[in-house]
Amino acid sequence: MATIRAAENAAVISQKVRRERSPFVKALLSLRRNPLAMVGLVVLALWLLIALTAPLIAPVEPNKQDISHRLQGPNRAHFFGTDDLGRDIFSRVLYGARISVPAGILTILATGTIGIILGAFAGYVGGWLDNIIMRAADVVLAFPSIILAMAITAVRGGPSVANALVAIILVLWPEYARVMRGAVLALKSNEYVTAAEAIGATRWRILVRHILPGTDAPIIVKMTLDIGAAIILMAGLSFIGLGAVPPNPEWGAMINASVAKFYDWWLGTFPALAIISVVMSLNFVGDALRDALDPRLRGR
Amino acid sequence: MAQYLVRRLLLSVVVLFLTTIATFTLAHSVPGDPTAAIVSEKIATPAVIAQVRKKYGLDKPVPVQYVLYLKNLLHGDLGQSLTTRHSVGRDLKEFFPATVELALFAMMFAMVVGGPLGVLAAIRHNGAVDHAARGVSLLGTAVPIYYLALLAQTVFAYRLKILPFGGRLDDGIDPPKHLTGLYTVDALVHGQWNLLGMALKHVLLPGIVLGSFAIGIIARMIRSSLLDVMNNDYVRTARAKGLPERAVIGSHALRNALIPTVTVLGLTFGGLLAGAVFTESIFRWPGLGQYAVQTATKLDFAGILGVTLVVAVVIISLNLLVDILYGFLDPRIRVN
Repeated sequence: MATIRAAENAAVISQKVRRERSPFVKALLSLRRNPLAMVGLVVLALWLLIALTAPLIAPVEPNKQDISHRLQGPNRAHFFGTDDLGRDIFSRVLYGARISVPAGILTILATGTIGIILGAFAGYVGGWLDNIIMRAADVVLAFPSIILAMAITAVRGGPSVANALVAIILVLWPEYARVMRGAVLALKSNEYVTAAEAIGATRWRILVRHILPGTDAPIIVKMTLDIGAAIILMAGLSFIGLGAVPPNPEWGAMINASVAKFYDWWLGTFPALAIISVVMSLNFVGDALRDALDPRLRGR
Repeated sequence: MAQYLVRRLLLSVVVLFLTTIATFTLAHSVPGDPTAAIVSEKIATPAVIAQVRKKYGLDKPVPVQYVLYLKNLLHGDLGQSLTTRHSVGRDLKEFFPATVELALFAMMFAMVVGGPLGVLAAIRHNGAVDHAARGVSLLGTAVPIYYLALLAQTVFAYRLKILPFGGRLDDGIDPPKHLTGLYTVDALVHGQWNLLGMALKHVLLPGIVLGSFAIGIIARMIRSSLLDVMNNDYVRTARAKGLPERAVIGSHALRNALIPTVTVLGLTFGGLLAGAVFTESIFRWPGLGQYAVQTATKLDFAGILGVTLVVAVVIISLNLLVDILYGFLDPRIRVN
């Protein structure tokens, strides 16, 4: 009788263990209860869809000029109006998503990966490697990101989307290195890491199998929020004239076309609303993820 | 304290030194000839180029070149600007005060609005003001400052016609007698009231636009540090002995809550310099930001690299200042 009960208990416990989801999955699921985060997710999904299908859904070819219909306000034929060359702003905003959305995601994946690797090594190995990596991070952080990005774009030979992307990647990695280093340092002193060392696991194995999985929360939150920052930075470089070059329908470049055209308010407003809606949605989702992953920060 | 100061100072010197290596590397990655990073071929005669090559040792090994680069930097020689045809050092000296004036005004605006907002948000925790403050700070990161600047210009200068479109003074007006280069301060000191009014009117719109993005950051910081402090025993004691809530917050909690805010203000200043890039070019504000845009877009390497270095030096010095201040305000910091 007692053995049977013990076996039952074991079964119940193992079931419970199996049902226990990872904190990250739990956090994702908890977003369902956060209305702002859901709005954000829906808007982001919409923008992804637009980026993928712009050629199918845009009413007009984005660079098609029609001088006889230039500078028209929003109307039934042109929802967002037309610019000084008679191009359809609605179509251009839709096409703009094909530049900004992938640019934001790719730069953050790239700069995040670089920062994570450098930060993990700095924190785990320590010593002179730590010193070199973190001083390099200090230097990059001493420059305002937009100004350093401008300098990098300029010395790389001037405006192009590729140069702007490289500049953003080179400018944003240090924050990831810092966050990662901090997380690794905090986890390194845990008993389970000491235990892994004691049973002879290699340092690489300890880093990859035992430490890195514990650092996903802060990094994922930061990446979510930073995609928005990268999109704004990219659009900013294009606004200045150091990113996407005409006639590319890039949001920042489109806002630049509205400089000193005070009467034609629709020129800059719609591309700006596109940027705001993407970044705001990322903020909602990132904020909700942070709350869900780190209860201590709730409501901060 | 002395040990803390020395360590912090040394770290700044190291970072400063590494920063010059970074700009040196950037200068050496310009397309074509590295002389282009010092003086553009478009304005230099072959004789000048030969002179630059000799002065910067461009035929010598890279470490020697770096030493010469540092030597020239220490003499304030940052090369020749293609945009203005002046030495970059002279340009930076001319444009620097304008940016300082704008950034100080923006900072004051952000503190005057963000500070009380943060305090109210903490007192009415999870109340309407709190949610509004959170909304403002989320929106502040999502609205591109260049759009906000254009919007402000359209509304206040174009439609309402109550503020100027840009510039530091009306066109054709001479600046006040030079003292600091900050027109408002100079006009005030010399009692040139007309100019003071005009300068204030011109700095208002770009200052508010530039400061607006910092409101959310400051409000959020004050709110969360105030909430931390409110849970402390000494605050409970103050309440228990029957002090009115005003006094508990005003003379007990807020004092300690302001300490972490000092750091944020230092960091925010770097953000203000970044925002100045856009604000200044849209409002024709002749400062470092507008100079950075003009030089970068013209591929005037000496100009843009000069701004980059000077801005980094300013930020490193500010961070040092903030850390020292922090050490004085919070004794626990000095130990770690």
